[in-house]
Amino acid sequence: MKKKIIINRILISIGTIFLIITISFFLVNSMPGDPLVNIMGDEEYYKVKNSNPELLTQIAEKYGLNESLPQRYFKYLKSILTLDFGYSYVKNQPVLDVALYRLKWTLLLAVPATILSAFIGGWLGIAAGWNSSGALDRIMTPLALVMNTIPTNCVAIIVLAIFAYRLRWFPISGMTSGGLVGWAKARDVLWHMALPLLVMVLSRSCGNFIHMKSYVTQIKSEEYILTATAKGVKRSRILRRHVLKNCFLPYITVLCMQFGHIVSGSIMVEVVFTWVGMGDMMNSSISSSDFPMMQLCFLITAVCMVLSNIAADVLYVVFDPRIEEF
Amino acid sequence: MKKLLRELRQNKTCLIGVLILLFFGLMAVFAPVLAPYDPEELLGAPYLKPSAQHLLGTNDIGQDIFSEVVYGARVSLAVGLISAAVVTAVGSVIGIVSGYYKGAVDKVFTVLTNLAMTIPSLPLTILLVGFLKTGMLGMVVAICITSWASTARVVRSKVLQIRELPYIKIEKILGAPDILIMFKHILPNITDIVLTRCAMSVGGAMMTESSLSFLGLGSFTRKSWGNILHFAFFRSSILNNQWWWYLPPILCISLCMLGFMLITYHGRTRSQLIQS
Amino acid sequence: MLEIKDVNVHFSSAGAVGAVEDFSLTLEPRSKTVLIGESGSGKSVLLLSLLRLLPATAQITGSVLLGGVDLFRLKESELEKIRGDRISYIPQGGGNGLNPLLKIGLQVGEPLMEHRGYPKKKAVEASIQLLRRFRLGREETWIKAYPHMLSGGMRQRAMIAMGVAAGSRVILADEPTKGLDSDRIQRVVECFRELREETLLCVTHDIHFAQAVGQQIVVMYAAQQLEIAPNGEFFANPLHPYSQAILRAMPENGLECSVGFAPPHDVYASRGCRFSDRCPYKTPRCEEAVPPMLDRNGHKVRCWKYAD
Repeated sequence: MKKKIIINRILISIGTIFLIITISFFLVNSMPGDPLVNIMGDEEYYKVKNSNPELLTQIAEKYGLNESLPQRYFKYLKSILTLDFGYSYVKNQPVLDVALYRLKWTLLLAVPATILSAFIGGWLGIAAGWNSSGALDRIMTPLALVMNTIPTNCVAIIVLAIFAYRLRWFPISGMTSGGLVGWAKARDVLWHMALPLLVMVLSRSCGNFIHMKSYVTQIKSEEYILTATAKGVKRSRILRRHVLKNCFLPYITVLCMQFGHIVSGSIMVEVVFTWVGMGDMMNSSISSSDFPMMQLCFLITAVCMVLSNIAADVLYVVFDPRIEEF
Repeated sequence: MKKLLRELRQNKTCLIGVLILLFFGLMAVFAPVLAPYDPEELLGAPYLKPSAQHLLGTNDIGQDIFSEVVYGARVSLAVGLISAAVVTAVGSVIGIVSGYYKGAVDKVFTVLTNLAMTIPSLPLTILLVGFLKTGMLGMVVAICITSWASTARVVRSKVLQIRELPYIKIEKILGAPDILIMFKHILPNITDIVLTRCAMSVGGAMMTESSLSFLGLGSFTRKSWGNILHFAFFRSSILNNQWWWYLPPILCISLCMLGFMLITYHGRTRSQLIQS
Repeated sequence: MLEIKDVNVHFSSAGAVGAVEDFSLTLEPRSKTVLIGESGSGKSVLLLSLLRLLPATAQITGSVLLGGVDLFRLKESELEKIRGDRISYIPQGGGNGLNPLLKIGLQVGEPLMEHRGYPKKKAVEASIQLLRRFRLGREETWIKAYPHMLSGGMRQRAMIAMGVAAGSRVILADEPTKGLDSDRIQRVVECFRELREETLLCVTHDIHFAQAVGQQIVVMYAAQQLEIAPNGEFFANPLHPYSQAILRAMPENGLECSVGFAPPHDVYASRGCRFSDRCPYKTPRCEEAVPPMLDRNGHKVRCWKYAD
């Protein structure tokens, strides 16, 4: 039964990805004006038009721009199946190469941030929820709620101004100082990572804290917790055996969603700290009108979301014995 | 009105939120009175420090930052309010219709809603703004396309509960037209949810607007707070220690967000209960 | 022996109205007592208060003596050792009383882990014997099942097994027949009959169940005890007008609804007997003061009718 649900979910996800690809195709192709502009980007288009008009016809042919829309659509689908996402005329590279390189840097930042904040936010949330209206709860809850309302770019700018500019503890921007190898380079990258990581961990921990706290408070008032107390189970063991397991399930969903936002959630931090990852790339591809690049960025973020949705569903199905069938 | 005031007096968090938003609302309305200069006027000297003449100094092209921030309230709030109005209207109608009719209509809308919730909204908004290119209007359209889904979902689940209530069933048996039932009998029962979602949408839209403008996707003539921050940041105000340039827009955005969080705090916990 | 003396429960959120007022009862070893009353009469609150399981907003006074030790004066850590070991509480089978994510075997054997130091594996094995005692059937399979896989009646029996797991001698059960049909109720009745050595205090609004299980019947109404009598005596000769009314309303007695209704607000506002608004025998005295508990040869009743 469980297998059936999982297969069902995966089929839905494939459908969703297909729909997203379709949307992004028609977005580009329904734009007014010469589609070449949308493929190459404004600047490049006019540059090439003046210097090398022949190249334009070549590109038009490559993308089959003289064919009908459905034909182009199938051609596009086929190229995506062969992982050909097009060529960035701004960067003079296949977009996939650029994206994969950038994705590496994004993950280097976002994965530790997500894991750290999962533990920090979760742990504090459990502590505050278990002893609700205790000292931790009274201090952390308003703090987390307020932190949650400040946009990430604002937090990032303030952190940058204080720790990098005023105190000069950390570099203002970038990822490495360059020219280093081995351990020295690793240490240098870590040093550059510290501030963006801090901002990400700070904002995500606050969100996680609020979620986890509400789960713990809710489950604490369930009847089976009363039963456990009536059995004489020690408070610490009630927390470990009865509460945590039940909080774990919804919390997993929250974390999966965060992994889904791994790219889109990094945009602000990457831009402020000039961390050259996917988020920064998405931003720069907009300002240079590099549409194939934008399309791929959008596709990658959407696929991340879909994958994390599957992950959340599958984990739920695996860990919750109550789900037998839908 | 009296009831509202009494509730506000009891609910301190909500009251603070209302006061904050009232402050910014008045700032937007009376911008021409409050601002000493035209925010777009080039006054000559760039990068001036705060003084009696220019409360927050001047920016890179010599515009008065204080006037910019005051007028920025207009742009930020306008984008937030207009988008929220559209988002709430669209989301509520879709939610009511799909919750009320169930069946095939509901299936189609649910798939659409799920799809809209799966697509990460910030990248899609960026993509849309990138294509639409028309500054403010493009931004409003993009925000509307990407953020109606959560309102629709919450409204739908509430309508699913309400439609099973006896008095709605009686109306149906009596042969009242669907439109009448939906908007005269169901809608009044979900106003608190719709209003809460609306307030949350204003906050959300302002947040998106400030993010996009910060990235440089907003309009350049009429600057919002996000736009001011964009120029402050990318013209190295941090390196030059011009806190009077980057701090005011940050404070305005954050306070506004705080205001919306405070007024929706109770409603939010309630709508979360409905979702689960 | 469990001696409940003058227990009062107030909720700070509910103003001056008590949820339980001046509750006194003695439970002899191996006796079976059933507490009947309508919803909101305070019977479940009383049960929870005995083990101090109520939320922090509840203020409890009085005393509960177990072998001479007052449970209300114990520290929380000392009480933890008594809960589930010497006194057990059995929640309703229909509710959410079992943890949905833990297997039945572990939950039934948990008191053994807590009070007898059993390792998990041994406790789960012991739960097979416990479940067999209450004839669950296919016990080896069910210990590996999750609560949602069991029917309401099975859950109830599993929880009774859980209650006696660590050898506790006093069992407090909350509405064990709620939501069950007559066939399942019969099985639960058999389970309670199986508890020969244990002292039972059971809360219910199922009068047939009370008749089948209880040796002593206690009637509660609006936070007060109205009548305490041995089973035979109570059903043959109920003294309080309220008891008479509920017995007349039973199917075999003709389903006669002889008393009217009174809104809770009026019931608690009354200075005198709480039942006076609905009582067919009401006299002026009934509205002036709450009647005392009168003892008529071991049959106690709180009614002015018997005051002379």
